[in-house]
Amino acid sequence: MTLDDILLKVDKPARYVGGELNSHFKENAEVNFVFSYPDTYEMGMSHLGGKIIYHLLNSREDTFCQRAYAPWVDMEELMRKHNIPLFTLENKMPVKNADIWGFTLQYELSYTNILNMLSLAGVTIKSAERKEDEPLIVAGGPCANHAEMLADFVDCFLLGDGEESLMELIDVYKAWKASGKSRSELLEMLSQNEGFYVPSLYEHKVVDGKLTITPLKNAPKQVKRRVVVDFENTFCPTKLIVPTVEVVHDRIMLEIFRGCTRGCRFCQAGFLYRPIRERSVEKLKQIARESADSTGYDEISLTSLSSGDYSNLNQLISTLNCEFNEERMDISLPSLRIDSFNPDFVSTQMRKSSLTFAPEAGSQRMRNIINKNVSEEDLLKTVRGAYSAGYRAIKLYFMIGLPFETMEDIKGIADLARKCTEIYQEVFGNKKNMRITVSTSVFIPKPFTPFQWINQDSEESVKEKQRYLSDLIRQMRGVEYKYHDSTASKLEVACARGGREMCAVLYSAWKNGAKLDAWHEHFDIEAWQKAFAEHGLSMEEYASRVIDVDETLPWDTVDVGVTKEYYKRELAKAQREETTRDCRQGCTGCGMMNVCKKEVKS
Amino acid sequence: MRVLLRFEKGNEVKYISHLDMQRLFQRALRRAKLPCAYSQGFNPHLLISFAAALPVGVCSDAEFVEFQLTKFIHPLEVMKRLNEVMPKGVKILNAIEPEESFPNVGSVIALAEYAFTTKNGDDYSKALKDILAQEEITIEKKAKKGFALVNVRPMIHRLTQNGEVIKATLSCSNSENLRADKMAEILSCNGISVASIKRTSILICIDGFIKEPLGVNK
Repeated sequence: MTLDDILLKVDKPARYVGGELNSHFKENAEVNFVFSYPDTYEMGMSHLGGKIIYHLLNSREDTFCQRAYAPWVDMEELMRKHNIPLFTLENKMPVKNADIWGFTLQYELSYTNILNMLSLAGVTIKSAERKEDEPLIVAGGPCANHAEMLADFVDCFLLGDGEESLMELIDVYKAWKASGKSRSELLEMLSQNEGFYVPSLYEHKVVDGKLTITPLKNAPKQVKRRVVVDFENTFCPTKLIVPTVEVVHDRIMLEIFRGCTRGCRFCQAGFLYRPIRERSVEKLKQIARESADSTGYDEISLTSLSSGDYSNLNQLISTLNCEFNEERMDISLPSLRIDSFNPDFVSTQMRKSSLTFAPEAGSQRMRNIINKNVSEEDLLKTVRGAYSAGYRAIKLYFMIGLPFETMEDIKGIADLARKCTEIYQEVFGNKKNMRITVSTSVFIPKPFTPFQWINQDSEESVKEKQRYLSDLIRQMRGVEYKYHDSTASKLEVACARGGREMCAVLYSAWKNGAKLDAWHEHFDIEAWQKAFAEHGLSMEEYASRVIDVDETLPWDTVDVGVTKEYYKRELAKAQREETTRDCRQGCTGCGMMNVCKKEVKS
Repeated sequence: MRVLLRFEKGNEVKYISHLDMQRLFQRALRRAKLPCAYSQGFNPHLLISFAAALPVGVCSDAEFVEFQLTKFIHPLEVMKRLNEVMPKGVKILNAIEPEESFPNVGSVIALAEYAFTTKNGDDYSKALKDILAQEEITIEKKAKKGFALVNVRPMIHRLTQNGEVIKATLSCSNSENLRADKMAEILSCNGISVASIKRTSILICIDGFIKEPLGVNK
């Protein structure tokens, strides 16, 4: 069986062969790096961070960065059957021959894929048992800040922005290679760099349910998250890989800023990417031009956590519209906030059939608790604007199971939908073709947010709320209610907030067959439940646990820059239903003032 | 102005599906900054058409694509500019501006010639003779609803061996089409295992005359 014979038998074989436009090919590089997004090619190639890392590392002559993604089940089966180890897309190198193998951690439900990929590659799964000549396993991305569940498997986590730390990783690796030192000495060397968290150099001990963490061998007490201060001039790839198979986000993702100033209390990204750092209109125009010329894409998406907040949005959009005037370029704004929506922007995205808004909560009280500083008036004004611009379909996105939530707050969601139907009637004169979709997801308390100590709503309570809302909405014609199954969200809480005891659970779950957990058709809750039971643990307990604010948390080794005091203060304000202002209107004292100031000066 | 291209789909891109190939061309045309014509209407789309979809995994020297430009650019200049921006494995072999009366290649396509490279290079002349001697060769083909059994023997027009390569001329029209991967299955049923497949030419039929749409610039 040759690789060709196998590829003819699997779905979308082009996912496994590489060779895309602007991909790299090198021979005899000093450092062979493999970058993996631990999910399928279509997911991985939609990820902006992966593209930055790939092109950043390949901008070095001494380094060859190749890619490997999780194969789909049909391909995995044939690879295992014919003993084909996981290989890179670029030159079909077995991944186990890499010097460094890096994963990005974007969501917890990808963790079983990491174990599965290590196994497919023939790399020892547990760090402690890995041999001297096996690849160094590193991981970054937002979840790396609280991935104790991966502490047994990942040699080193890289915290925060990777543009500078990845370059240092290569430098340290080369110095180590030249020195002839041992693998454990490499880990000690790495731990001395800011943002490098080597989990094996921290001892976690739980006595009477209380955790103590002891750093070993000169490892710092806390590891600081890296922040790229000069975001304007930091590396930004413009000769981007263009996938040949259609992927989820297949367009130019123009990162207009990093960070967010809003401070929504449920939003981990809002805290993990602080402070806000914008690129200038001039710079963005140049990046967009070069990217369009090198890729041939016909769509630019203005990417950030809240693109409507860009301080020069009107100027940016008119500059880009002018630059691409003759080229049929679609310029879209993916993450519109209700209060920054401007009907003028609608004309630039005429091709979309519906607009999505995220009030997140139905009542003003609840929106104050989560610090989503949007009023009902704002929302209804925006909906009126969208209808006046000709949109007949809108989607409203909410969370249920939020902290301190009551049935009255759930009713607020239905009330909002009803008010939208009334506005529709006013604008169009009738309710023909009206389509309002209300969708809810279940709130997940995340580390590094003020709600990190709060319990998740119980499954019964969530189901009751879903039923109640469904009954209210069923009475409204033209309004549809969609909600997600809450089982996976329970697991997400356990994965996000669990300590090192979860390593064994992850290993067992994978052994029980769990993989591709983010894919509905593959999610196997039983494999997980069995794994929890095998270690005397329960998913429910993790989800329902209220953590004492003075307890040591498994992720306390990580210093993301925002202080614990700030999270406590924000939690107390949430309980009092008080809001905190957008920090552009004045510093709110989150702890990142030093970095903020540096950015302002530059 | 109309531009008709013949291009090569090489080993590097043989797993790209027909639909993804279309997307690849649309992006290449943008990179080459060619002034392409779009359809009118609310949702304008690029005026481009590809002849005879190729099964995934098959290489080709005979792919044809036609599009329109809003102003005159010499076809060989179009070819040059496209070749500068193509990924490895896609190469434009020739370009012409067809006469106005010249039909769309896809609508007049009649036959396709393929080269099946065998795995071991044995002499298969007897097996080939046996295949041609059969009156009926029935295979399952996708139909509107489920599958239908079709006799494809009349769609095999020529079958010869030259060294390790088996050459086949097969029907490739809108009404009668025998795909190369199906032909490989037929060969395999007759004890011939195929290592790789390449389409070598496409023949069109105009006013009863069979000919090549455009040759290759050597």
